[in-house]
Amino acid sequence: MKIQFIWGPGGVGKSHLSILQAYQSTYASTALFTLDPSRRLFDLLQISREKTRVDVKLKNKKFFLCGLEATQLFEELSQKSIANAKVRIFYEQMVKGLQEFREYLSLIQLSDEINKSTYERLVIDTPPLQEAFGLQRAMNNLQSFFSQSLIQFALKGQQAKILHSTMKHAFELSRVFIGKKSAERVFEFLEWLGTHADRFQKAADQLTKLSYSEETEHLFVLSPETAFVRLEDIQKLSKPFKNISFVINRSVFDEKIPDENDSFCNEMREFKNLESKLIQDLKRLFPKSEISRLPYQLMGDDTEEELIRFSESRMTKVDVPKST
Amino acid sequence: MALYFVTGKGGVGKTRYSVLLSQKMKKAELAELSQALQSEAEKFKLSLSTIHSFSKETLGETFLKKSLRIPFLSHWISQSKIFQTLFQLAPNLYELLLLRQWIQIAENKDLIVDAPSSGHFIALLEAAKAAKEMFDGGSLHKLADEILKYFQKANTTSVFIVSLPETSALEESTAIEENLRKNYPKMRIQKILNRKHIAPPKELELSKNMQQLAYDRPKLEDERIFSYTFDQILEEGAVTL
Repeated sequence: MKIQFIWGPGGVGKSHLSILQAYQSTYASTALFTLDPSRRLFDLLQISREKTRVDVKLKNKKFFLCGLEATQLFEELSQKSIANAKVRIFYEQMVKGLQEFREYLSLIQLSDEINKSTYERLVIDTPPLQEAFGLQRAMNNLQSFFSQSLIQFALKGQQAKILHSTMKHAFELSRVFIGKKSAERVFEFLEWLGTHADRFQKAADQLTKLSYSEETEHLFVLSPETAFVRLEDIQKLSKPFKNISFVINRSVFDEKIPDENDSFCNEMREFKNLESKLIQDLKRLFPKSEISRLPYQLMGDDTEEELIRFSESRMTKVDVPKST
Repeated sequence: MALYFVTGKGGVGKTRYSVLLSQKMKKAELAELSQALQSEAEKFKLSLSTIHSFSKETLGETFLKKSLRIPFLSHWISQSKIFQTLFQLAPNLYELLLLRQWIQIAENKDLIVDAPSSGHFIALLEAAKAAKEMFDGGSLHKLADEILKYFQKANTTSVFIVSLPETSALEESTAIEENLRKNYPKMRIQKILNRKHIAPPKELELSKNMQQLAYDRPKLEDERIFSYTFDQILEEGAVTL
């Protein structure tokens, strides 16, 4: 299975690019997964957000769309060991209230789906960059989260005296902050979660191995306005990745802009300058990475026609500008 | 003195708007979660007043200091593995502490918060409600209560919902507005349309693509925004409010 992750800041067209990649896939079977909690892909493809797994047909192209979602996972986990009503409520709150926890869960789901999947090509749409850091942290920390956390304390607490007294102190501390009943619920929840620790650890290992593999592609979507600070973010995020490439969406580089002083020409000229600088910065920070561009097109209606037109666009490779 | 949130769909220009707003409200301070304000201001060669940015660690330790009232003990506990894990596992805790910090600052000065995008912004506000439901007692329950009371008072909080003249951004703005009017009726809401395009006054020699962007795009935008009302419309490239 050939896997491609699609990353990018908010508002650059990452969702559109994810669909384009699935649409232009030449493999016999393709799946498009989204880790983005906003489920933008579903809106763009005009599919109800109530669904999580759908076969999509766009013009004459077919692919499978799957939104990774924490509550589904809860149902599966509950089948293995029954969670009582209190734990269920706490789980829902954890999912709603703790972005990192949601990220851990969506990664576990991703790992499960990859294991189940028989598709030849898998495109994975991620949340916008700032949130994606959480995902990467989750990938790196999934194992330590479960091995070092209180879950292990909860499991071992019954066995070791020292650990048991640590648990007791933790319990007392948490009572001060969240009240007695809540503290009990937290620990019940941790115990329940602990029964799945193995599975989570396996998922963490698998995903880490997968995303750092040379076979796995990582495509970063940018636009000419992408600030330099985002490139530094991308450097951090992509450090362990082996196979990185970039696409500059809304490119105006090949366009000739008239020398007029109206807001349109000024905007395009500004974009052109920014794009030129962006490419220089990319070449400097990521010398081994391929850079492509997609021309700036009229968009904004979110119709199927617009989506197909976009999905059929050709990405062209960038030549290094002669001046530095 | 009040709290001013700037939110909207990802990529609409929240950070840019926050910077421009701070230029207009000269005595206001800024707060952010993503370290983007400084570089945005540099694009305009602007210097910004104080930017508040709080890490989880700082918030955790400050909270402990206030709850336990013993400085060295608070520091020691905040460094402990157990506390750090509890802190990580407590849903909404970071958001609660952030809200509390911002509210405290806003009691003495105007504070503009470059807030997260739509869904995350709503979740941030909801942290107090969720915490109150989840925790039956303790200092966090009390804190959640205080935060909710603040949002229920008039003239304490304004929300600027920034949108682009694109269908998804417009729809998302409407959804945020409906949510806020329903759950936080005392908040003042202002709707901002960013990056509205104007057709060039002359006929220009352009490629087909560029022709569409130059002349068709402004008309399509006018059609799209027809049924919406905005408190302010900013043209593409606007550098002041």
